[in-house]
Amino acid sequence: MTLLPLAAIETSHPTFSLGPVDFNQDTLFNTGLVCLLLVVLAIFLRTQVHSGVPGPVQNAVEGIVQYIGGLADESMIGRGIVLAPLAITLFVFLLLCNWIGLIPKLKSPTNDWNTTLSLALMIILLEQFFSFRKRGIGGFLKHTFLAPPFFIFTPILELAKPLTLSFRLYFNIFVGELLLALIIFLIPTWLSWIPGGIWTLFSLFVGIVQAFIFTVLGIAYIAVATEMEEGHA
Amino acid sequence: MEKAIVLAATLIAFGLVMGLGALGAGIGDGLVTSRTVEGTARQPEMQQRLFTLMLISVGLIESLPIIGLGLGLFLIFVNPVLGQLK
Repeated sequence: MTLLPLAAIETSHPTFSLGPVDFNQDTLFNTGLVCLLLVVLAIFLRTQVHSGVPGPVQNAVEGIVQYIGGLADESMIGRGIVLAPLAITLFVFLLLCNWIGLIPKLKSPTNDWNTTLSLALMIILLEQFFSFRKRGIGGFLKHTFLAPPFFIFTPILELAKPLTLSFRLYFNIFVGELLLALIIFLIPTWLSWIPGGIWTLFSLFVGIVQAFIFTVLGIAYIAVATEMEEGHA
Repeated sequence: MEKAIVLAATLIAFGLVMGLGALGAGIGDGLVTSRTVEGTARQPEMQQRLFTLMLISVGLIESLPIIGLGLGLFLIFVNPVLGQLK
C-alpha cells in the first residue's frame, strides 16, 4: 500500500533467490563495480608512480592515505594493533559506494541496509576480538559486565553500536537518493536541474562526511575497547 | 473511516518527526558551530583541527533528523498499520 502515487520511484531492490536466500541484484552488481573501480585505480596508480611531482589523482590518494592512516595510528598508540590498512580501505570503499549512486541509473551499495549492517557488524566483531585479546578473559568479562546494577546496560550499549552505525550511513544515502528522485519527479524538467544540482553537490559532501564518520567511529570504538587504564568502561 | 484515521495520523506523525527532529538538530548544530567559531577566534592556529572536529560532530548530529526522515518516509510509503487493517 502506498500513500502517494509515486510509482515512478522505486525504493525496493530487485532480487533473485538461490535456495532459501534472496540476493539484491543491484547491490551485488554495484558493489562489484566499486571493487573493480578500486582495483583498476590501484593498478593504474601503481604503474604511474614515479619519484617526480605527483599528479592530482596520486596526490589525492596520498592525502587520504596519510590523513586516515595517521588518524588510525594516532588512536592506536601503545596498543600494538595496526588498524591503518583497514581504516583506509573502509574509507575509500565507502566513499566510492556513496558517490556511485549519484550517477544516473546506478544505486549506491550503501543504499541497502545489508551492506552497512554487515560492515558495522565487522567493526563490532573486531572490537570484541581486540578487546578479548588485549585484556584476557577476566578483563573482557569485567569490562563487558560491569558492577551489578549496570550489567544490563553494557550489552544494550554494545547492541546499539552496530544499529546506529549502520542506520546512520544507510539512511543518509537512502534519503539523499530518494530526495534526488523526488526532485526530478515533482519539479518540471526545465527547472529541476537547479535544485537537483544543488542537492547533488550536497550529496557529494554528505558522502565524504558519512564515510569519514563511519571510519572514525569504527576506529574510536576499537580504541576505547582496547584501553588498558582502569576506571573506563 | 479507519483508513482515513490511519492516514491522517501517519501524516501528523511524519510532520512531528520531521519538525522536532529538525528543531533539535538545528539547536545542536548551532551550539557546535558557535563553539567552533569561538575557539577559532581565540586560537586561530587551531582552525584546521577544530574544523575537522566540527565536521564530525555536525555529521553525527545531522544524521539524527535524516534517520527520522527515513523512518517517516518508510511510514508513508509502506505503512505497516494500513497493511494490518485489511
